[in-house]
Amino acid sequence: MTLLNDDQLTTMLHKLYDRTTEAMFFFGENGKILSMNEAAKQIMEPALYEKMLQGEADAICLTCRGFTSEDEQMTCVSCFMEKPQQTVSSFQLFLETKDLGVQPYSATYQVLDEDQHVSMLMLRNLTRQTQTSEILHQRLRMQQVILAQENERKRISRELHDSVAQEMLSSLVDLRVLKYMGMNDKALEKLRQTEGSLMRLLDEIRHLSVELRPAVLDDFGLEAAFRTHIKNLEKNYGLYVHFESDVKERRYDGAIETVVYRIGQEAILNSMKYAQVEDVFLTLDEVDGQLQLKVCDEGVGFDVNDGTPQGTGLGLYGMRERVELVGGSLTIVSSQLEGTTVQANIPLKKERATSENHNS
Amino acid sequence: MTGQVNSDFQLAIDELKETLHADFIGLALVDLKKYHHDLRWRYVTGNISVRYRRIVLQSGKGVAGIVFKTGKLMKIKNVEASIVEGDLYNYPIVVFEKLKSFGAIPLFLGDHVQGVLLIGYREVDRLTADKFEQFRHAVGPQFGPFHMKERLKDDFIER
Repeated sequence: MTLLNDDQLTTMLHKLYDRTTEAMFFFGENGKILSMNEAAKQIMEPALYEKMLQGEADAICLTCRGFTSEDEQMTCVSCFMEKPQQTVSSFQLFLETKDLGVQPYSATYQVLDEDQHVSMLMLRNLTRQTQTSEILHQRLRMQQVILAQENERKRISRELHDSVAQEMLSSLVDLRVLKYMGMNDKALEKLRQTEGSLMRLLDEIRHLSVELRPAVLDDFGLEAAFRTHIKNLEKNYGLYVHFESDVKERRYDGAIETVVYRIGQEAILNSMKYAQVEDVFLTLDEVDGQLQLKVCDEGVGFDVNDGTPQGTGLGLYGMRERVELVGGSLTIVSSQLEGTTVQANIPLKKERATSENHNS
Repeated sequence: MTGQVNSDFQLAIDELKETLHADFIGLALVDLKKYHHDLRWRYVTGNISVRYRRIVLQSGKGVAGIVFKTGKLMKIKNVEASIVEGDLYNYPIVVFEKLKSFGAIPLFLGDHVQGVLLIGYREVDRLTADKFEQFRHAVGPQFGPFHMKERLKDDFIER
């Protein structure tokens, strides 16, 4: 291998300058543009490009929208052009581009000649990477929120069930003892009323606890938890849920049980809110090593691809995020005439451990 | 379609429905005999479904539950304007009976709410303020063993 001589190297560099997909700018004193390559021209609005070529000071500011610092996503504070010695050599920069609006770029800024104030800026488009990392970030955060919410609900639910309800129960027992300690009829009647109020209060506390997170899910598993939930739905809302299950008393990983229970709960709630039906069908079984949950109704459906949901739209999003927490998949089929089916499949074999068991 | 055993209560609400040209009247009562507190719609008239029978009302939930708990009147002149569609399921009786305008009053035994009387219409704005007054007047100060009052804030403190 022979080393290139200077001439050849110059030619090569020139070719690189012309053909690279990275936008390159050479700046002179006061940010006057000395040269831009083809790639730079491509991303620029033609009118702006012409203007920049005229050699105005700080012409790059016409298109630059700031760089990302620790404090802000787009900032001009301590601009790399003004204080090159303070700037890290590589950073993220935002440019106003032709057709695509403001786009993120990975930038490299290099001072070439300090005396002549010649410097160079090299840009590589980062849109894809930025989007990918944003989605990932959002997803992680959502999943953390779901986990945190679940843990908090569980804590409060336990507290209500184990401590508040227990205390109340022992007061109730005391009150009943009091009845046999000899008192006149008037006092006895009042006592009876108080007992009634206290019992109602106890009921309310238990309801709250179950609503937050049913202890039966942790103690007896999915099937029992769904049966309790269904009974409550019928009592409170007059909704019939036809439940078929072949998982019996089988227990699964705590995270999986939580996810399946919450998805079932949410899907039934959606049917109740929007489908205008009296009957919902819920099935739970194991198919090919996957736990399968299906919630169907025969009511008013909706357009799955419609971006404008009737409610907050968070319900469906939340369901998807939950399923992904345990590496499963969610399918929603809905039409105006045939009702809605929500189906979740969760692999039971441990393929990836994404979350800790938060049931125990 | 009432499917109810005839009784004084049934007669009373049938009569109320006639005089006020209401579409639906419901009477929710606490079962006093039972050890457990149990609030249900016991007497209805003008009903279009029997789904109401499934429901055991929880204190603080639904129309009867809220009136029961607060001991105060409840009046919704226009359901479509006052209740968001997605929240409607919290008021099952309104959904089942397709009520568009309704009001409910508490019935007291002593200091305790023991029943809730509901008047409903299937068209919006039918229960005007006047009509509601008429309803309260028609029910009178005494309804069966119950009497009318509004729970005051310091009711409990006095006792």
